[in-house]
Amino acid sequence: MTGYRIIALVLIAAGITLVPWYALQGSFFEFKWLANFSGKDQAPALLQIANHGKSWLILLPVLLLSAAGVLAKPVNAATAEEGAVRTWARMVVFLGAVGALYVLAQGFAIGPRGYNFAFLTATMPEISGGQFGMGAGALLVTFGFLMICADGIASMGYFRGDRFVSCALLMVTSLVVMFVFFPVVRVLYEGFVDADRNLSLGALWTRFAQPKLWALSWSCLWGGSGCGVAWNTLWLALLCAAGTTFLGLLLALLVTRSNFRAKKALRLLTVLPIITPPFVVGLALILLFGRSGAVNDFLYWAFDIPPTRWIYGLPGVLLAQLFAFTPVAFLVLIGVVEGVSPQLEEASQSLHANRWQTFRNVTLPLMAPGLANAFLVGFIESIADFGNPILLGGGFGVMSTEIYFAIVGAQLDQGKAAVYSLILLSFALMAFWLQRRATAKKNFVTVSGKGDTGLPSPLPDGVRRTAYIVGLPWLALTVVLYGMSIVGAFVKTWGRDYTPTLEHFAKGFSIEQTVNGLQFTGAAWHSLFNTVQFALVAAPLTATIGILSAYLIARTTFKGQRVFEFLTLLSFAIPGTVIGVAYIFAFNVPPIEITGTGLIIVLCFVFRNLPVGVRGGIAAFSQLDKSLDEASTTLGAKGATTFRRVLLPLLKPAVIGALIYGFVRSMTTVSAIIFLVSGDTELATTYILGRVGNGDYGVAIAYSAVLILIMVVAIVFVQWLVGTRKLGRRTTQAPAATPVVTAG
Amino acid sequence: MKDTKKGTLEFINVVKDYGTGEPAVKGVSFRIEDGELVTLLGPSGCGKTTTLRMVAGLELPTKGQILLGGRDVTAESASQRNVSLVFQSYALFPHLSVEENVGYGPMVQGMAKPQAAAKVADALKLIGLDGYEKRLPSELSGGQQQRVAIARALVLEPAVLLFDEPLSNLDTKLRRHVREEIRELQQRLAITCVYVTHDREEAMAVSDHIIVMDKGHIAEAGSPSQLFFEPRTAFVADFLSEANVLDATVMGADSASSRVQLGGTSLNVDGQAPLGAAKLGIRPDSFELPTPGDVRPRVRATIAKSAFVGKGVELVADIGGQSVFAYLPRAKTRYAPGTQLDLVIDERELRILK
Repeated sequence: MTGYRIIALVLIAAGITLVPWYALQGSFFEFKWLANFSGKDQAPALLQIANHGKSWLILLPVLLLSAAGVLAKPVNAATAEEGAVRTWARMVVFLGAVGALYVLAQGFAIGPRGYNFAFLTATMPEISGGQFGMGAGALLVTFGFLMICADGIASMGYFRGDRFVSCALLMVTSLVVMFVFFPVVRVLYEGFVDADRNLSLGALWTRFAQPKLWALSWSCLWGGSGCGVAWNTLWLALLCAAGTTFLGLLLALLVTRSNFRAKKALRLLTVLPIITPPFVVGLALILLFGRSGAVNDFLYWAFDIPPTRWIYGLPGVLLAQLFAFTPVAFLVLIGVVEGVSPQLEEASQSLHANRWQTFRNVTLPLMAPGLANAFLVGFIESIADFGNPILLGGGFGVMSTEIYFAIVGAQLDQGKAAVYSLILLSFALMAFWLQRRATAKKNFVTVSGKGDTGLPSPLPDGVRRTAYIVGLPWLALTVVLYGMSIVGAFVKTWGRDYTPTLEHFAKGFSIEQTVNGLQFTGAAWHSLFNTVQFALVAAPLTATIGILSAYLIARTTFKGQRVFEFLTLLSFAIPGTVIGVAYIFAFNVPPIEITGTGLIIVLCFVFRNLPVGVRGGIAAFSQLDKSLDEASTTLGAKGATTFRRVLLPLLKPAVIGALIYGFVRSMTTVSAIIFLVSGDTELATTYILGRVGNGDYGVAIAYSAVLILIMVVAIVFVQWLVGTRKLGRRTTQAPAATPVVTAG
Repeated sequence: MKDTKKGTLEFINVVKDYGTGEPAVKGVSFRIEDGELVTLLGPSGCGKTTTLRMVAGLELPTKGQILLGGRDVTAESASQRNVSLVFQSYALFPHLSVEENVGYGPMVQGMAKPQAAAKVADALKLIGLDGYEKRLPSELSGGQQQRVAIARALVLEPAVLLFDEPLSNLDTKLRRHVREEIRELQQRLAITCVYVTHDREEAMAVSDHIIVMDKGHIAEAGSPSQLFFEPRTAFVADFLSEANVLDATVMGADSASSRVQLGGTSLNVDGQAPLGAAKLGIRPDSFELPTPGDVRPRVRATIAKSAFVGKGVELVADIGGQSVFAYLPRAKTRYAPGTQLDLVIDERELRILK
């Protein structure tokens, strides 16, 4: 029997006999369960059947033995009759699939109080008691059966008989379905459920057709109240998308098409939104324009203008989002502007078009798809943003904050949260769809890669002037804002007492020497350790699943590949708040009962950041000639060997990109995990938001600064650690994952 | 039937359909004997590369059978087949040294280290790159890179060695040299080779046999001189020797030859042909300027274009209402358009084509 099959069978056997079948109260890795191995809560499946009346688990050992029996007698293709191999392989697929599905099915069918569904109680054998969430044993068994199923699929001749490919595909698909698709469907379901837990279309309609969502009034155009939150969200998103695209384009033109000096510094700007928690800008705006902000103080002192609350509402949120997301649009648009072939512009000029005509008729139309993409990103960022609206929204409610209040507020209305989530999700999907449609036939690839020489033509005067007049002050203000979030950490009380102090750092990050050794007594340590720990666990998982998915998409062909790609990229379009709500609905009840644990946060990190890993991976694969894989294959290597020996070493930059990105994004996420944290699993971002809520700006700002510092150090450290080996001229270095951001 | 050795390769009615309109390969059958070098020749899109990839196992046929050494390997994947491919781009692993590249095959097959090292050393010696073991591919010239690719393919002692347009990434000067090296190596090892190219001169220079492909079919197969001098189809005549394919009429035929009317000239052509309209293949070098006393048939040509190319004169002329391309090696200057002259035709070089 091959090593692969032995591993699969051992996984299942261990899952049934050695580790707790059900989820534990404490951590698995504390190994307290060993002390009470046969206990009701800790026992492995075999003992659960024997001692605790979990009779329905009896099918698992039966399936294991059958699978072992079948796998022990593989059919020899050379000697067997025609079709015998296929029949045998079908048997393997069947056993594997039934095993994995049975674990899932029994988990969903039988809850703490017996059968979950009335029709089961009526038709199935009677059972005593019930069960809670599945644990380590169930996990191992599922994985083992999936491996067996994949083995059978490959033996049937699919994926050219390559077990590595079928196994990777099955695993990734199962994970994505479980942790992206299922939660979303669960939200959908929750929207239809009425107060008595019955499905009804009416329940959805009552929650949907509310003036709170859809009321309209002219005054909202300039920030007045009276409009529904749905309109608020859309209007804000449109303004934000238009604004960031415009500003991003100006900055991109400034960098690529003018003799602007500080180009390098400007490019550094693109890193900011990645390494700062998304609400830092909002925080800095409060420090500047808030009631006791620096600007208001100055105006009052100099001109006796009383401070107002104008910053709280549409203007403030919009301003914060513009500052926060313009770097993202800038990042997208640099590539777009650089992608316009200078030869085309030179051609236009040689046909006697002047600079403006060239810009208007050649450059801009060529950039149109890129601009649409930047607009889309700005739109998605805006509707997904949670930190800025919660800080600056005031009476101006948007969907993401309303969802939050529906869950954590006094109302605790799950149905409402579900329907709001669905609306927000459909906004996002609609935006994607519109962008796809608008740019479907206009994908001008102007980078030919071959001898594309020529100088980019200078900008028309008007455009250049606008770029300078708008762009430079904007840059200056951005620097001031981010600078503010550093300076604010070192003064006593912003707005009242500007005495320099380190007390905020001391409060958050003090370490004391006690009789028990060093004690991390600062209030922020707990959440910081949590954050770093979860991010460190999540990053390699994100990178692994991301690169594997990219491999399956870019390097193999199978039916349903488009669907697979859609699933892996789906979470990119799902606003963070929606993911958070979905995870609560999906994983608050057995069979997967992990709310309040660190696991749910890690999973949330992984599957939220997955699309970026996948996209970075696909981009990297497209830089590697397919003949490298084929050369490896013709030399006798199987998929797994090729992946490990040839592709992975060449993909190192992409892998590192995915690792860094996964880590950094996890550290700064807010919206998705705001519902998922508990007292034990509090994270840096939620802690900071809490401080802001209490008006404790000093600690909040100090903490943000520390976070940024940690991330910069981490990035520099990883880059240094790995270095880059010269790989010769025929492999262009694969670019690191493109850091396109969806707001936290 | 000839005896079937390790390196005998046979295709039986092989079809490859990607499901995108026309099949890429539409029922191809051929047999390559052990130790032969056979070239798949044809214009781009004719199915020659797809055929080669099916030999390698990188594509699996939609229909038909592939036999290697008499054994059915149709369903075997590339990693199972005893066949190696030298890629057009060489596909050297850029992160591995020359030694590691060549040793990749033995390594993934789990060969013992000392044995593998010996094999690698042998292979590198064979292609004259001993001393370059530690270099990275990027530190080698194009020609050297290709030799590493060949060594990497040879080290597993494959039954069949495949070449996918091996010369296309080399500059013109190197091509002839590398071409000779490949042929010499193949002869020395007596290994079966399948070679893909679209360059007819290259194909004729290296091959024992050529399989000319057109639109997913085999147009004709045979030895280089056979195909060059005695093509049976208009496609091969045109593709391999740039022959003019002219409309003519068969007036009569006996057992060995046919009487063919071309314009106002009557010609005797080898081979039987049915009476009536026919296609006549005339290579550009079958025309000559008449010498005094030449009794061979003559045609009247009106010059449309002509150019002096050093080794002679190329011309496009109107003969009996048809445009003809001809090459006159003994002419020393170009002709003005409209000039009329007589050309003799070497009847032995004419072919009636399908």
